[in-house]
This record gives sequence, structure tokens and C-alpha cells, in this order.
Amino acid sequence: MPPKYIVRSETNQRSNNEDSFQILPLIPASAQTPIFVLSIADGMGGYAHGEQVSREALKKVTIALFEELTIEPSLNCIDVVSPLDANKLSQALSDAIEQANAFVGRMVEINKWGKAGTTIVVAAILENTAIVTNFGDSALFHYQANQRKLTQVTEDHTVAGALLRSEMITPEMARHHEGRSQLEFYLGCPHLPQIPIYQLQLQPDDLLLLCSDGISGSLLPEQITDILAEPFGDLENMADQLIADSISAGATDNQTLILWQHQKYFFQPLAAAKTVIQGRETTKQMLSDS
Amino acid sequence: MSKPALQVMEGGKIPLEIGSVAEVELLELLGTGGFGSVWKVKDCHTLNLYVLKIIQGIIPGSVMVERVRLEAEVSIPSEYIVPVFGLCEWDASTFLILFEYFPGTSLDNLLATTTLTSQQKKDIFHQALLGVSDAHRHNIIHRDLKPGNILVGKDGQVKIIDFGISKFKEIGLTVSRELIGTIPYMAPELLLYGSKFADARADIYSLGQILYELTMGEHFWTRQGWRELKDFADYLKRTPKPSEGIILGDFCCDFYPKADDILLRMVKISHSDRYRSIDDVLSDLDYTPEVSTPPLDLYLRYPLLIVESGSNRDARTLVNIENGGSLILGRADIAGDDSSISRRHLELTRVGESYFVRDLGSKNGTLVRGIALEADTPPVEIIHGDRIKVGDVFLRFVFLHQM
Repeated sequence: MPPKYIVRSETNQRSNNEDSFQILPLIPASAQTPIFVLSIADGMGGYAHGEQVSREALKKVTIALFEELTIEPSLNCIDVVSPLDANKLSQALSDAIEQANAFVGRMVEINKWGKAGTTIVVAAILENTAIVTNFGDSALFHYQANQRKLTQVTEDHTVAGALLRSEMITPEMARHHEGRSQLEFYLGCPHLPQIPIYQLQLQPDDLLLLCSDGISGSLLPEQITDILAEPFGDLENMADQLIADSISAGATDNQTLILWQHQKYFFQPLAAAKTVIQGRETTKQMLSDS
Repeated sequence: MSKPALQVMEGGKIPLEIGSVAEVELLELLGTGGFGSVWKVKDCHTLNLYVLKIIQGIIPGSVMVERVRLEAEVSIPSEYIVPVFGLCEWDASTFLILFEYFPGTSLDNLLATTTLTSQQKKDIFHQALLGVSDAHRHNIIHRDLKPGNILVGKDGQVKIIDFGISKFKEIGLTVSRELIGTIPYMAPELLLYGSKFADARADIYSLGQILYELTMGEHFWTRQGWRELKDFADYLKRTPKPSEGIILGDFCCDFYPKADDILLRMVKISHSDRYRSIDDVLSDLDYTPEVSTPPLDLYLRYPLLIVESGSNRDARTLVNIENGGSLILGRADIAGDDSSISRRHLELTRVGESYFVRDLGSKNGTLVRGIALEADTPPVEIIHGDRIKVGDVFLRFVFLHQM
């Protein structure tokens, strides 16, 4: 069954679009079906270089994942690669983020772009599990269709967000707080805390909404729930509504979203392979094409 | 014809209309703030060096732009502050601010690359205090003091950069998000309530953190292993509640004998428990503040308030109060119709030849010597030459010389 999703990216009232996004099916060495990597980065700084920073950050994350999940396990490997599980994928994603952070930091420093960086939110979907991470204020929401319940999975790494989580300020104060747009952590910052990794179990028809703050910064969770809970709404209508409502609520920033509708996972083997060792030579035999 | 794109890159040339400077070439990126970049630049005609700060992403038409302009325009006569040469609006969302060039190394770089002697540390801190004191006397609060904003010349001369500009951080001024890197220096009230509510005491807290770092070689947060704001928030929530933003622990300062107590009073969590003025810090560190004696020929009745900023600059208001009387001033009485001044903003009273001021619960507050006057507190005495900031308007209180 082909994946079901929609992507939108709007410049809105800005002169350029510093958001980048990627939807990439990636076949790990150990898996027989692809994992899907969904990501959004919202670049900042300089501020002419925001576009480049967000693009390069996403490229670095996916290259690092490809290297760790596909290239490394298959290199000089004579045994069947052990299957990929959620924990291994979590570790790979965490490593990828760490590498991307160092890469962005170096890129900004070498190019003398001043204080530039990017937010990032990534979801890697392995069968019925989504592994999620983020830095900055690009967010991921999980809409559980059977409970009609919306959860913001990621935390916003803003000053206001940190104060709110520590119960130093109220939600009302946070909405108007000066620090709501001050990012404490982002890709390219000198010190990252422990990388946040979330594991979600997905049911058929569940929705994942990844978005930049041009969407989530101006809509209340209840407004997003109302849009995603629309009984006859298709993904396109939902995306249109999210964009339009956030503009009505005052969003002027770039707006990017990926809306992913999870479907029942069917095991569809591609081609199982067996490794046969013959002296110093290694060959592969295809066992089945079905 | 529309303006060309702003060339923010090494070798980029930017046409300006700031004083005699018509065009500058960007030579070297000196640093970055959350809202822009700072460059060493050269006047293309005279080859004189300057520092250019480029602030981008301002919300066009924001009322705050004008307010920030007012503050940036106020010059602070101090040998410890890099003066603003002038500023211009590149377009609706971009400001360019030109500073005089000071060939120094930022204190954070110095701390990372050099071993400073105790005497050098003492000299640097003393000069930083003097610079901040000069600014506070003019009611300008830095709000973003950190080692990166303190420049040290080869001869040990210290100059502070970025005065009056950090107000760009205020709510709604910039559309772009800020990549923050200086939370550990920020006073708790600045973190919780924002820069609008910060007065001189916020700068004193930052200077306390700088004193700790100068002494110990690393910031208190680093020494504690704190990596994020959450760590500080957890500390603030400890039982019993801490009253200072620093735990002395093994702190030992060999250049100020009484540093322990002074440091703790500089970094009180509650700003009302903190030092109220830099002059008090200087005094406790055994520096004798230089007090200028007012001229003897002043006519002490009917002083004047002189507007020092904005479109109504140089306007004068006579403070006509009989002994024992009072005078309420508001928007209509000061600086035309500036909306930052409340209709009933402040009250001046006279007792004998002494004058006092108090804020009447105005919307945007009143600052005297960098301290925000709080409602329900006794009136503060003002003397000849004092600066008063009413809303966003800077005033000077003076007596005329006798004819």
C-alpha cells in the first residue's frame, strides 16, 4: 500500500522560504521494507543563510541515517544483518542529529555566517512505530484517530517553553512571553543537551503532523484537533485549513507541514537474501522474489 | 528605484547615510547577536574603521522601532563605552548602527585564550563597572551584559558594546527568532518577565556572574555542570529556596578581599534584595565614587526638565512648584504627545530647596539613575543634572545658573 501523506510549504509574508522538508523512503540493510524519514527544518540566522542551513541540516541527517542503517551494517558483513528495531533506529537517529549539529556548527563558523542555525523535527517510521526527535520549535503532533486525541509529542526548546515546563510561568504567560521566540537549542548551537527521542505506537488512520512554527506558533492545540478530527476531511483539505487558519491567527512566518496518515502495516518482503561463504569469497543468493 | 540587496558578507559594500560616512566595506565578522551581526567595516572614502551592527527582521511599522531609535540615539559620554556614531534605517525591517571602532578583544575570547593576572582581572572588572554606571546615570540599561560585549584593548582599556540596543529584544519587535546563547548571564526577572521590566539591577546581576567567571575562570553554570535553563529552574525550586543565583562553594577572589559578600548581593534572585546601584557596588569594593559638586551659582527655584531625545528634543518644561507643593506631569506636559508617557505619569514635589520625584503607576514606568521607580515607594530626590526617563523619553533635570 503506498504511503499516504501531504506536504505544504509556503513563504507566507516573508521574502524567502527558509524552511526545508524531506520525505525519504530508506531501506536499511536489515529490513525488507523501507522506513520513511519525514523531516522539517526551519533555518534562521544571518539571515540570508537560513535556507542553506535548513537544507544542509536535512541532507546531513538523511546521509547519516543512510550510512548508519544501510552502509555500515552491510559493509564487510558476511552474516545476515540482525533486524532493525526501534531501539537501534532511535540510536541511529540520535547519532544523526549529533552529526548534523556538529556539521551545521562548522558550516556556519567556516562561512562566517554569524549566528545561524536551524530547528529540526524528524520522524522515522518503522512499521507501526514512529521514532521522533526535534530541536528548536518545529513540532510533531500525534492525532490518535480512534480516541480523537491530539498530543504534542515534541517539546519546544524556547526560553518560554523551558520556563513553562519548569512551572516558573503559567501557560497564559508563556503565550505572550518575550522568550517564546528565543531558542535555547537548535542545530548549530555549541552545546546540545541529551537528544530527545520519542517512540510512538501508530494505529491505522492515526495522523502525524510535523510543522514549522509558522503553523504551530499561532494555532492552539484545540484548533489543530478540530481540523484533524474533521470526519470527512482528506489530507489536502486539512493541510489547506491548517495553513489558512494559522494565517488568520496572525502567522507571518514561513509555513511548512507534513501530514502523514498511517496505514495498516503489511509485511511485504522484497527479496530475502542468504549469504554463503565460499572460502575467501562471499556471494549472495536470492532466495525469493515473491 | 528599489534599494540593492544588503551585502552581508566579507567584501560587501553598503551605502549609508550616517554623518559623513557614505559607504562602508565589510571587512570582518566580529560577532553575532541574537538579532543580527556585527562587522568591522571601513569607510570607502576616508578608510577610517568603524563597527557596523546589522539588525534584521524587524516588524515593519512597529511602534517599538521608533522607541529603540530614541534609545540608540542617546549618547552616553563615557570612556568605557563604545559610542554610537549614528544609525540608519536600511529598509522597513532592517536597521544599521555604526559604532566607533575600538581595537579590542572580547573578554570571552580573552578568558578562553589567555591567563589574566589578578591585577588585570581587577582592572577589567573595575572599568566594566564604571562603564555600566555611566550608562545607568543616563537611564540606559544594557540588558545583555556578557563577556562577549566587553572589549579589552592591548593597553588594558575596557569598552562595553551594545548599550541601548538590546531593547530590540522586546516583545514583538523582531519577527525572527533569536538564537540565544547568554541565558546564564540573564537576571531571573529578565528571564521571567522580559526586558521591558529590567532596570539597573538586571545589569548588576549580569556583572555578578561576570565577576564569578573572571575569578574562577568559568561561569557558575559550567562549574555546576548545568547545560540548560531547566537546570537553573530546578535550582530555583529547591527547598529551602535559594536567595542567590550563585553558590559560593570554593569561590575565592584574590583581587577583592570582600568579594564573597559583594558577589552574593549582586546576584540576589529577588531584584529588590540586590544592590540598587553600581555606585554602591563600587563603594563596597573600596573604590571612591567621583561625585561632581554642583555649581554654586544655581538658582534653586523653578528648575527645568529638558527633553534629550526624539522629535521634541530640547523642549523645556518649567517645574514651577512652591515650597511644600507638588506638580503632576503627564503626556501633554512633556515631549509633545509621546504615547509612551501616561496622562498622569509622575509627580514632582519640593521641600525647601530639595526636589523629589515619584511615579504615579504609569504604564511604561519612570527610571532615575537606572532604577525603575516603583509605585507605593517614597519619592526619590533628584539633583541638578539628573536624568529621568519617562516612558521612552529621556529628560534632564537642571537648575539655571543665576544671572
